[in-house]
Amino acid sequence: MFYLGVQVEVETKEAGDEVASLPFFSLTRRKDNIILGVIEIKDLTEWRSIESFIESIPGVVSVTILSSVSGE
Amino acid sequence: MPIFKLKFQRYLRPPGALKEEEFIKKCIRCGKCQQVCPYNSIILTSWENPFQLGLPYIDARKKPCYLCMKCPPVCPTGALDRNLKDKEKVRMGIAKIDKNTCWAYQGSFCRACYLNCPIFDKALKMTDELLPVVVEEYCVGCGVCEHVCPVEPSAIVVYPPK
Amino acid sequence: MDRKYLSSLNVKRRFMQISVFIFFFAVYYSSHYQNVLIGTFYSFKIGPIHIVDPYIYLTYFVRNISSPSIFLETFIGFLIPIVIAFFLGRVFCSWVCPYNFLYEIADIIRFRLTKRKIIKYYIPSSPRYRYLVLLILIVLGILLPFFPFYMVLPGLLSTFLHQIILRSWEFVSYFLVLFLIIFVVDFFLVKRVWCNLICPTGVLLQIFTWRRGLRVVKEDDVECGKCALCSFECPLGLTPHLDNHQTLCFNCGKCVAACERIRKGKNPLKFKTL
Repeated sequence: MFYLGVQVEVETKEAGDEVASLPFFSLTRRKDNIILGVIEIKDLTEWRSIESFIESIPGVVSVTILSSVSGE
Repeated sequence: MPIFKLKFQRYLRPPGALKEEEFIKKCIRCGKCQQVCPYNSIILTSWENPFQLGLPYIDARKKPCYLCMKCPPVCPTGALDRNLKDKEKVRMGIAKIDKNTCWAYQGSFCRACYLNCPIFDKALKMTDELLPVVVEEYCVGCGVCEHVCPVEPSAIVVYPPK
Repeated sequence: MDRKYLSSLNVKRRFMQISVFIFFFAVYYSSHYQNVLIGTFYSFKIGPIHIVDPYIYLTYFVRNISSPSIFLETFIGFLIPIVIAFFLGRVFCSWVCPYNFLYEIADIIRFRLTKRKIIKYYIPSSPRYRYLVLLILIVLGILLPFFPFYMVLPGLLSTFLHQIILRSWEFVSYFLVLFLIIFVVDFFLVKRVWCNLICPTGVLLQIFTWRRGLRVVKEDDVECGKCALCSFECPLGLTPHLDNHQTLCFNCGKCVAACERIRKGKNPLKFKTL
């Protein structure tokens, strides 16, 4: 169980709103085109699916992992 | 409890530690380095390796060394070099990236190790802004990268010096 | 020394023992906030000065004898308890040592529960046995690098305490098992075998005690009533009325206070220096 600190870069405000309202995404801070938040995952496959899901939202530029903390 | 499982692995010692054989001879297991560590990163060996009972080590994955350098001055016997004050001069070990498991090498955007490295942008560099690479000359072996890596087991591991 | 001083000596001693216990707790809890006082009974640091347990220092010295650098600070740390023992005898054991404190409390509890006071403790028939044990422990300390750590009980107890505070239960369970083995043998089977025969710190402190330092003497010119109350009070089961207690006595003063109380000023047992 990992908590990933992620940074999502968006182009439009609507994309930003959608990312922030995702159920597995805990929003930390939002400023202009950068959204910082925490996502809880179990392993690489889960991350891959979440990553591709977020990237498929129109208006999202990139998803970057900034840090991670073990859940134990 | 793995009481009799003797692991002949090498342990990551606190910063300023002498060479492993010297360290084992000089350390009197007083535990002062553990007491003074503000992050409680230092662990004293017990069941996991009874032959090394009481010797301090750091489990980078669990809690890395944050290079505050408070432990070398308190060591009474010099098992930790008390003159070491610069965090850049620490040589606890060298980090190595496993390119097969590192997510950045699999196509994701992950900058966790790079962003959290205390020797920022010198010991860990992002080539082409995508792939982390360890610069062995500058790596001190603190283990922060190993601690923040989202991969289980960690794709970047600190190996103590031979 | 007048009567009031002596009878309150035990009170002062208890106060010191409890304070030392609390002091070490306070040191652990404050170890992240201050840099002046840090350590355990293995080695303690007050500002720039280190104090090192003599047995630990001796094994460290012997193991590193071929090494170019043996620090002056560590050596001074070794000298400090030795110099104190030189002038004051084994006061560390009776006034500071947490194991002795726990043992005495356990003895009091046993007395309250069984309504019987133990007077027969294990006493080695010759001081040579203690030196032999010390030699064996030093040799073991060289051959088995993990060894000395177990044999210094004050240090063990204080590190054990620290691991409880840190919640490292693996370490705690390891030491609990070890400590309980030693304690059960020492408390129920061969009483006081640790303090009187094995403890390497105690033996070293006694080796470096000056024959004319602080000690309990039985004066020949004052009549002894042969009541053996001194022996009854002694926590180690020594017999000061037979005047053969010198190599094991740890200067707690209970025998002197008892003699004073009974003989009302004309007591043969006294503390003496020089």
